[in-house]
Amino acid sequence: MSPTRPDNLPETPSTRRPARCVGGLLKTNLKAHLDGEMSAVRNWLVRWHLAQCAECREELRWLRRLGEDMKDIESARPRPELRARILANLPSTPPAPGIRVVHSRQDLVRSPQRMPRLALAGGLAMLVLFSAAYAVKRSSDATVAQQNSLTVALHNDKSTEIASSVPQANADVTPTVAYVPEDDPNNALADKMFHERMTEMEREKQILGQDDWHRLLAKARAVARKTDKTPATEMGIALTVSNIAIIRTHLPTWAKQEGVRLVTSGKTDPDSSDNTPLLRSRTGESLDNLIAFYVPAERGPAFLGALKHLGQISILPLTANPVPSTNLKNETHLQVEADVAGQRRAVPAFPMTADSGTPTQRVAVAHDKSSSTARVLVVTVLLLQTAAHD
Amino acid sequence: MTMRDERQLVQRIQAGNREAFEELLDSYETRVYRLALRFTDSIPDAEDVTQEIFLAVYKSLGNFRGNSALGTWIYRVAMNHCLEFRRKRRLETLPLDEEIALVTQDWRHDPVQSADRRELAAKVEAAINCLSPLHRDVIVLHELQGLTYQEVAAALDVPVGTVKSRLSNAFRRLRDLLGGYVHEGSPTI
Repeated sequence: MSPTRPDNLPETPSTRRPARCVGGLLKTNLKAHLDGEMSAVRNWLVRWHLAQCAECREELRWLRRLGEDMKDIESARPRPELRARILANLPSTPPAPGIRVVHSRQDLVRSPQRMPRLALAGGLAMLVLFSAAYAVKRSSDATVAQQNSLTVALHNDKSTEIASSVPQANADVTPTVAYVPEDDPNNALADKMFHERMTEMEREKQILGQDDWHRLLAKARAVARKTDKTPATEMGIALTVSNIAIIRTHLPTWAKQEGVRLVTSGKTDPDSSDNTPLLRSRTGESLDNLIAFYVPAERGPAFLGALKHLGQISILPLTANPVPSTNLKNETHLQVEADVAGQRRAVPAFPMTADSGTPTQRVAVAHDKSSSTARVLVVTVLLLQTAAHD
Repeated sequence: MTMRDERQLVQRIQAGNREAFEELLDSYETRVYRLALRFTDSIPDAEDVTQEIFLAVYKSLGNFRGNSALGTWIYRVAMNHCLEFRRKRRLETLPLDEEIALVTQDWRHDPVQSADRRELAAKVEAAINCLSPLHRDVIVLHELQGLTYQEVAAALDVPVGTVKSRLSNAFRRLRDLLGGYVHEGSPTI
């Protein structure tokens, strides 16, 4: 390849674009068009537009060039010793087929024997992983979302969906990860695992009680003293949720009643299809669907109690769940920038490590009572932070 | 490797056949190592993470049912480990705006020097490193690792539409960072 002289190259579209291309919407599809990842109709539309728009043709050319150059930059190869290390550290026992872990909402949504997409789009039951293993009848029927019911979705070892419905009266059944043992005809093992899980969760439910709040607050204040010598008078609780629409519908009024500040403002996520204002981390990561409460210190325990018993929201433990969700793991360390005391500033994260003895993660599930279904699986990380307050 | 071949390979590994696992390494070791190197920026760390990934893959192969392609599944495991590494490391980094300013300034400061292809690659590399993690991840998986949108979506546990929009936004950002670009020779449409 000959050396490149950027000064001889065509101008980049961004430097010479005086006015917006009329095909602005199509322009956002150029990359997908180039990658052959578009439907035939959209492809046709893009091609039609390209035939008329020199600016987009140049942008496409630019995208292609950059893509080609990127392919050249990945050349690292592992040393031969690495292979030996990997093989030497493999367990002596082979990975025999065993328990299947249904580990994410995505798994359920993507599985082939799923409820029809339209049904999903209708906002039906959330496909949460309820651990009602003992209540589940083995059946290969596809999940049928029913009015006034919650859907339980489990998989057995053959990835056949086992589905059952839990009456609305039992809607407060604790969601958790579902394990379905491979060979457990009498469900004995499933029962045992479920029981253990429930016990564990019940124990964890108590963790965020009054004593914990005071202990955490003391620690948060110590952190605040170290950082800016301003004692914290509030603590922030951040949650991310998978369906912010419901949260936003229900929470603002409630937060006002409870005397806590609810923060959802922030930069708009460029990837979001709607214009939901979102908080953003200091490192530039968008905090999808993150909300934060700032709670006066003295109201902490009451607030947590209220949060737990709020009709639409329940806070449930997650720490015991081996959920290998990239999103979850990605969110636990985020530095949150929030509107604190009228100023936009970084909120120092309060490290909820093992030494604090308190888990950092909780699951929040929003039950949409209006449609008698639980629509939101969610989740997430409960970061307790100091809000250095003036 | 067809899905059938993959299933047979997995079955052989499940039966304790180590040579079968070496075949799996033949196919994925370099790709996973490169991915790990992207997240760690250090050969020793990349080797450690790669080892952890394949150990996790081996242990979890008992649960692999072939619902998705083996490669997609491996990438998902790999991404989990890489993101976990990123989370643990919590490097002190410059604010994003400052980094961008540095790169942009450097790139435009001496365009003649950037004629060298290797240097161009370094510029592209630097620009990629300036992207937000969300955008960088899709660039790494799609452009550098060659995964399809569907595979990237599975690895990141996000919808395909999100991958598409992130890629589009990432390239827009790269365009802003790199300014005048790049090498001659690509045909136009």
